[in-house]
Amino acid sequence: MLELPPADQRYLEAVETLPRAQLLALQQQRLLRMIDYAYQRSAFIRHHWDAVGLRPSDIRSTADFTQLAPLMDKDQMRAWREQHDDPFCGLLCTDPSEISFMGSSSGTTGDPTLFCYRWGRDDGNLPAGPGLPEDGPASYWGGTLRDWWEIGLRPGEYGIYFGLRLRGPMFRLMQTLGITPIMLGYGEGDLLHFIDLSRRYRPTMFYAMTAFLGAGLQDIERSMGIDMRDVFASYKGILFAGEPVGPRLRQTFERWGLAGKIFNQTSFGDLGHAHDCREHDGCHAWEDIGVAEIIDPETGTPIIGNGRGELVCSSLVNPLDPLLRYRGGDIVDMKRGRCKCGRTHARFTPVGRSADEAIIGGRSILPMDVWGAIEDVPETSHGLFQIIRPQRLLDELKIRVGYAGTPELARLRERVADSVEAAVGIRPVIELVPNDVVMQSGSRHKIPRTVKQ
Amino acid sequence: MSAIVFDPRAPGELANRWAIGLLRLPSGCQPYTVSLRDIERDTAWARSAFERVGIRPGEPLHLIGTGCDNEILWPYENALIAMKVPFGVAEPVAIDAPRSDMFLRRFRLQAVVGLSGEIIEALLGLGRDLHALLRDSTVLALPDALPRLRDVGLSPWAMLPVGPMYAFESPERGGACYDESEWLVEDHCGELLLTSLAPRATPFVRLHTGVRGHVSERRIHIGTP
Repeated sequence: MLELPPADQRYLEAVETLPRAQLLALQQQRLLRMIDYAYQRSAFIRHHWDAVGLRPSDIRSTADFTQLAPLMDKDQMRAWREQHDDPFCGLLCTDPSEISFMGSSSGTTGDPTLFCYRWGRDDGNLPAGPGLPEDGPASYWGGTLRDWWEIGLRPGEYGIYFGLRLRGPMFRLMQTLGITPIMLGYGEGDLLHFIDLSRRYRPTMFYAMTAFLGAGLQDIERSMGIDMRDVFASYKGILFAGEPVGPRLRQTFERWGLAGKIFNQTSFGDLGHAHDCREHDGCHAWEDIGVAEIIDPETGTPIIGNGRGELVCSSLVNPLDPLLRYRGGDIVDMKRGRCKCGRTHARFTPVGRSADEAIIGGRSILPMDVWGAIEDVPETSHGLFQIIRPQRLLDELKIRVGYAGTPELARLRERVADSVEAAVGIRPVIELVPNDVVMQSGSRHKIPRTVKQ
Repeated sequence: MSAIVFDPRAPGELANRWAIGLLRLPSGCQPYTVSLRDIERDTAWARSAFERVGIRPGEPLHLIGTGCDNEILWPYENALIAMKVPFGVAEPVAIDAPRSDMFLRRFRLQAVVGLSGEIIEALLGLGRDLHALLRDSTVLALPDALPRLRDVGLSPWAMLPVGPMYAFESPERGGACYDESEWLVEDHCGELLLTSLAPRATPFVRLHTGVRGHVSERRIHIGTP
């Protein structure tokens, strides 16, 4: 039996608008319990805390935690995995039989690392229901359900599911909200089926849009003259996952009548997902599910309040493989305080990954800085590019750019270089390759935006 | 407005359209609906199939399958969850082979389910020794992976996609079994035809699956007789 709020209610759960003092009290209560739980059960956490002489009893508040607890990162996890021949990187807090599903990271910087999930019912037919009981631990998917409810998804509707299975079977979340998923893939012709099924069922959600799919839809619009405004007429939300929407592709979707309906799904520090709300003023970091901090990426020093920094997250409700002060390399703009939507949780806007930052002549360049400039050139408008970054400090900005069709390459190279130079003030070296070459370098929902060579 | 309370198992519109898939046939793709009841019956059969293969609780398994086949794979995931078998997932395409490679190297897997020819070629491209990688696991492989696996001395189960279902053939061969309470499989001019026997959300009558094979003694034999 599933229970959802009235369809006209904006919030799925009362905790979304909890007064901030109460929210932080709930967060601290869960954090102190999780610290004890993880220290007792996670060999990795215990080792790294012992190494700095820290015990759970030393932590009496969230402030103590952010000041005293050591940071952890993926390199340390991988080192543990190698040293101990432990695929769970020393993080698993339960018997493996408690795990339902092992998803994994994209593996762009090494062997993928695991994310373990447990689904609610023993027969596997339904995920844990929406919501988090006050005393947790419970489903960290609860945050995604809140976000999708905010987008406006309601029982009885249909949702397009262009999903991979690597982070978990997200289509089950649609069903938890009473939505029928329409399962599509990346096969040749699936976009045409998407168009047909959109007209037939009038879905309200698209999960998950990518640069690759967006480029395909633009090609179909051009070659077949299909009215995309009609195709997308019923949609309440187009969710981009894996990587954000590029500036030009955003304009295209807005031309298709989707202004205000483009949502960004991003990682909540590998604890789960975060989405922007209908106010589009940052992705909500659910602070009853995790602690969200920012630090100076160079020094590791916590940054209090609002500002730009590296996102650091800690699990509050994950009984399987909780992370404590995990820095995943995401650079974000953090905002605290009540959002215009009425929610009281922090929100953040991803601006790039520290591992993607290149410094050229003292100037910081992130992929998003050149994205729009590359999309502005018609032959490279699909926005398929990679900054070649063998190390952080570079003498020149070199970009591999995918092109469509059979353009005259020497002139195209100059035009792309002109466009990028106009945007960032640095003349880049452009390597042109067919779009397929760039696509083959990553999974179908995401390509690495920086590569070593 | 009042709260929305619903039981997804209760007969009704939602339970009857629990998911819409795209049936991929050689003649083209065809959208079809599955109900929650369809999924539950398929889950029960998937569990019996895994038990026949010898899958045990508590030991990790690698399940390879594509996201767009979720409505067909889902019962197998459900069965593993019900059996308390932890499973790691990957897509059956070359670009995702490093993920399968990670699971194969880092776990003592009791089984690998859904291994495709494309993954095998990609693993070989990574310089892996297939026999060493898979010899301690029960392997359930798609038809295009079987010759390579047999060439290196492995004895895989065959996992045969037949329209919206799978049939399984043991390493001893002799034909693949399928859910006979749910499906009638016939052959006509060397092609397998599928008819649903149970009241599925989308009934099929002599569906041309495009799979070449024949049926004898209630077993599916892939290829011409």
